[in-house]
Amino acid sequence: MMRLITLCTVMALLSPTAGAEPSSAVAFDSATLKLLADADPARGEELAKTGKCSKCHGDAGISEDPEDINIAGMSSSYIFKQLKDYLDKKRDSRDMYKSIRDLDARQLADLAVWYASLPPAQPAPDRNMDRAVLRLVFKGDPERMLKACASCHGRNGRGGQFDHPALAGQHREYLVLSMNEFREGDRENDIYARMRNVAEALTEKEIKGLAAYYATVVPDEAK
Amino acid sequence: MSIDPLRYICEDPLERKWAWISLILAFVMGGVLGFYALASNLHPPSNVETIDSSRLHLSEEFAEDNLGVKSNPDGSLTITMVAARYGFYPPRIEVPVDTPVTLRMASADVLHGVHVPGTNMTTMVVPGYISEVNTMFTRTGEFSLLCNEFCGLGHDHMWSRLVVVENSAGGQ
Amino acid sequence: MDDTKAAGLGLVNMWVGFIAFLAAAVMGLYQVLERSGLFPDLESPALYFASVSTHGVLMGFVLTTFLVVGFGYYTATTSLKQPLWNRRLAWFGFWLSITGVLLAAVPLLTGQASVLYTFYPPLKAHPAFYIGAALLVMGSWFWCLEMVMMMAVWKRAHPGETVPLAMFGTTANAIMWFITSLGVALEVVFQLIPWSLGLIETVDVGLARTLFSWTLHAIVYFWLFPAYIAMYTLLPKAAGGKLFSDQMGRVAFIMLLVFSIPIGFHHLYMDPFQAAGWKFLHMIGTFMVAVPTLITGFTIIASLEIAGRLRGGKGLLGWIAALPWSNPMVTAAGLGLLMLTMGGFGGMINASYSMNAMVHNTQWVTGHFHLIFAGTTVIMYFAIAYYLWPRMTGRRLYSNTLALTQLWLWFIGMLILTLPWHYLGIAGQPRRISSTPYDAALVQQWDASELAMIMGGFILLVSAVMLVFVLVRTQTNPQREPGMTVEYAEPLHPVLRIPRLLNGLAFWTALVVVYMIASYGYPILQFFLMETHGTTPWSI
Repeated sequence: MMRLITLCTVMALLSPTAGAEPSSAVAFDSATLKLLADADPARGEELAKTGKCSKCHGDAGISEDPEDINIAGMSSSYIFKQLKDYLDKKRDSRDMYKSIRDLDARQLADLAVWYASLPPAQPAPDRNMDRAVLRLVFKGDPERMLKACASCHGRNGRGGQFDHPALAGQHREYLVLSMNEFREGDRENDIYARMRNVAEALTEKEIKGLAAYYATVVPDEAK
Repeated sequence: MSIDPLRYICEDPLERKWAWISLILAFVMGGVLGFYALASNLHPPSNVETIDSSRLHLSEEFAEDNLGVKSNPDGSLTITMVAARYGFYPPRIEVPVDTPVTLRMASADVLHGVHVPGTNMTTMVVPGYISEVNTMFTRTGEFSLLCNEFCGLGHDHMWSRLVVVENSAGGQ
Repeated sequence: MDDTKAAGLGLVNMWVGFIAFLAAAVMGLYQVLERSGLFPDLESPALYFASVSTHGVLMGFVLTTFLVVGFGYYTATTSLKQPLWNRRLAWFGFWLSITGVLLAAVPLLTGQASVLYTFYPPLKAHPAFYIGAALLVMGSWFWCLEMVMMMAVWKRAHPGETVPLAMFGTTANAIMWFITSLGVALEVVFQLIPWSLGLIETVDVGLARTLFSWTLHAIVYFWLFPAYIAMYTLLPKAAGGKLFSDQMGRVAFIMLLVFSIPIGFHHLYMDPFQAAGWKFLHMIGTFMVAVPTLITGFTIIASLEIAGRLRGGKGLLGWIAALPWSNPMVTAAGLGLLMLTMGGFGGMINASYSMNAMVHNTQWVTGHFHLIFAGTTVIMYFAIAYYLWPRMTGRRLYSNTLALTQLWLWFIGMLILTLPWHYLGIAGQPRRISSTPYDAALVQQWDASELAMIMGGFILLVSAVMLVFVLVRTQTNPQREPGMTVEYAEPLHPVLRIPRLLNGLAFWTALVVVYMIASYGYPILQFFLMETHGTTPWSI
């Protein structure tokens, strides 16, 4: 009994000095890029079938539940990172972890390139062109050190390199959900807290407005 | 001596004088800069240290929980930051005035540059290499770190904040 | 005579240069309008940076290379009174360069090469851009060969005689360009092209920037040489006087050849991958290269004074008013020397090792190179054009008044454009930005100067259009003026004997090579000795 108490005490005392873990184990180094380059979308399609990903994410990667993400047409690097983060438990979701826990990195890459190859969601025709929202999207807010959303997510919302995801055509509710997760610190896999800083600076009204903008932006607008 | 070596290439005495003035000017300017370089240790950032930028957040020095301002035993400060499209992280740092600081910055992606208007803090941030600048902030106030090298379409938006505060008695 | 064949080559090359110039000038106006913030519909980083990239490539690679090459061919044949060494090679080089330009133009204009004219990796452009750039440069190497061979042939045919100063300078420039362009050629051929094609995975950004710095300084002297050659060899007679010192002209050209290339690290002062000692060595060389410009200033102003006094000018400064300002060559040179003085002092700050930190990558740099290149160098290109067009086409210059007005507008527009940029740089504004979404306190400081940019841009575009208009109308002028020849300056004191070292370039070329190995040898070798981490491609 005493040994157990000692062991627990020692471990408790040692843990703060162990150093915090990185927020994601994924780095876009040559090895990861090679993994993605060698991935096979056909194998990915098979894995999606056996894994029944369509239950939440739809047959074509477009989900029916607006709180589930549309993954069709997102960049393969972004999908891969999120899957790996789920697998490494850097991103917390029991459902996702259960779905992919038996897969290895190569299979995650296959899934990623499969879903990346699918056509992205077509947005609803009504658009939120509120001036305050447009200003945030294209100019940001220097007072709060908010950069334009478009600087990382692209002028047409189709995303940037590696882990700068597409936002256009995403579900409004999912976007609000994600921003709130960053805000509360429930989602922490944005390396160097890049999105957490943004989400903390935005107001709830602004988050809803931006979600409405991106959920209805036409993806093929002038770049 | 009465023999002017420039005679061999320059016939006109006035022009010869001007040629001497030009040469002396060049050497004096070089000399003054050399003197200050050695005497005041005024050198541009030149530490030649490599790092794998593609795995930056997995490194020890530029891990997420190692960024920010830290005290050194000799009373100076080390500011560890990352430049990544499109911001400098951590986005707000606070430093006491009149304290020697060493800025260590690395890029997680492409070429960046950073300067702080109103101070002499400036350096390129080159992927694959660590940048190190030694300086001291002599005025309190709010300053901005601005990216000054084209790093992509969001380059205009890349900046962060530096706040220089009064030196409290016990330091950081 | 063979003169006409060189005239054809000269005209075609220079026309390509000026057409590129006009297109780039239009883009320049777009850029200042976009930056002003007054036209929200124009604001677009994608369009802005595509424009800046194209503008930079057109002005810095196309206008310059073709103009220098065209001027070189014509100067070689007229000063040596000798035919082209190999016409076919000369035209082959031209077509190779044109192919390169067209190949690079497609990605540039479609936003796939918005990597700016310095194309620093790891931002990756379409491979056609890099291949096009390589072909443009390699095409110019045929010109280099041609100049060297023509001088060698002339010397063999005229043993013991003094090489005409205009050719001495042109060949020095050709040798200097060949050696300096090797840097960017190595970077593009061994790093950027295979990397952009996916044949190699990573590129060492430190090595790439070091190789580019090898080219980056001397390229501006490649551009500047024709301006100096015109000042030394065309200006004195145009002003009605003589060249004060032929010998010091040679000394200046030799010093430029020797000191312009091994000093590139003043472009890398703020880069962490080169040690301070090497940067200091390059700084000393950079101050040395200011000396030939100071010497040139003296010689040219002295030559102008001779002309002024010969025309009756009296007193300390009376000779200035007595100069034939109605001659475009004289006006351009006067305005050019003023801009050279201002830009030159700015350059000395850039060269100053630790002081460079205050201006590095700020708008000061943009102001500096527009003032000295777009100002001094390009205004002399205009002067060369106004002087040579009648001689190459056999037709009268369309309008002397328009030419003079165009030159004055260029000067005024350039000052309005560039002087505020110098201030903005010191006030901390970064360069290469398409908008200013920063802290309000900073931006407020900059506002007034931003407006000046638009005024400068408009005036310069008007001037650019005027230039091309005058050249077109001259080319098609029904009033012919056959038999006009290039009147090279006579030296004040006839050159009876000239030291061998001032009449040949072989020794100085060897010296450059040795100096280059000393300045760049280890700094490049270090990348192969230490463990470096290359970078994979990044999109814009």
